[in-house]
Amino acid sequence: MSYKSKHGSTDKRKQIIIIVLILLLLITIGITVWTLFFRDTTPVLAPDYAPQQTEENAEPIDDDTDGEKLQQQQGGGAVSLTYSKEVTIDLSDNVAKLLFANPYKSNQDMMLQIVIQDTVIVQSGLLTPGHQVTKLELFDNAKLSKGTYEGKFVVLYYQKDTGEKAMINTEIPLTITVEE
Amino acid sequence: MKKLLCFLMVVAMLATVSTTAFAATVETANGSDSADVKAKYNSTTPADVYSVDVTWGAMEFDYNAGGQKWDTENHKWVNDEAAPAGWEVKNSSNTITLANHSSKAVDATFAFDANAEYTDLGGSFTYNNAALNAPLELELPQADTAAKNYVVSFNPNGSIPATHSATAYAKIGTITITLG
Repeated sequence: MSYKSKHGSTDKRKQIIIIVLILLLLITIGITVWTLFFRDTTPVLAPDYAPQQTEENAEPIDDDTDGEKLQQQQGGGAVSLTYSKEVTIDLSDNVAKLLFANPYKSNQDMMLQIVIQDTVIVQSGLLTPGHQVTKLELFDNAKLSKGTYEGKFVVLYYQKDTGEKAMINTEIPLTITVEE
Repeated sequence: MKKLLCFLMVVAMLATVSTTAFAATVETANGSDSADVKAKYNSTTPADVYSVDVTWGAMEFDYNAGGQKWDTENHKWVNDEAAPAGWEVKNSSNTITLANHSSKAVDATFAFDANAEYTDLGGSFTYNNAALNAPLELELPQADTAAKNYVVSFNPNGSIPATHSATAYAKIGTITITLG
């Protein structure tokens, strides 16, 4: 191969590498700009009517399938909450391990959110009286790292007959441990 | 030959495995000896259990816009001081009752958030006819006794616009109960 053609092909290779690097740089800048200015970070809004789907991870509470209901005033509501204030999140399978129960004596269906720094990272389906959850799946956009967070349960109540959201809700401060 | 050698070496290794044993010598016929039996007590502290009942009334209120009277001198309608604007509770439906069944005392705090468009609307809470400006402690329930009922009342203040529903009771805000 002649000196000229050898150097010519080397220069051409260099040009291709430079073009590829510039393209990669532009793509990276584009992703950064989108993340900073255009990504949708609006919080998840709780529905005004009960979710149609029952929470798939809900389990019946042992020995709590019948008995007396709490008394409630007409037009009002009555609930019982049983819960633990410690939650563990396993990032390897994107699951939150917790204890939250809606005992049979409640007159309302419930929906449970886990909130960290004003971001909803978990939202359950409908939890009917007599059922509890010990694990819930995280939203895909939950960005957490190993460590401990202060968060809260937000518990929303829905009328069993109309599905309408009650005008009272409950918040419970939590300690959330994130493991990899 | 190799297999025979391996077999002999395995037998030799097994012979060197020993088990610790204690023994005592009984030097007289029909004699006896004793050895101490030891054990260790491991106490386990059970995790606290949180369980709270919450019941609430219909939270229905009448807002009376206030009367007006005709000013015969200035020929215009003016506010009637004998009939000022104000709020009335319908059917005593403004109470929230809590009962603590937990293994610890629980603090309850109350907050009212008016609908975003009702900028002149607020609300306050009372317990035992006194303003509730600090967390309400739901005491640790006594063993073998019914849980104490804590009755909190809510009263709206301020005003709602004339465009609010005049035919049916419609939502004006949300009450959040925080259980800490």
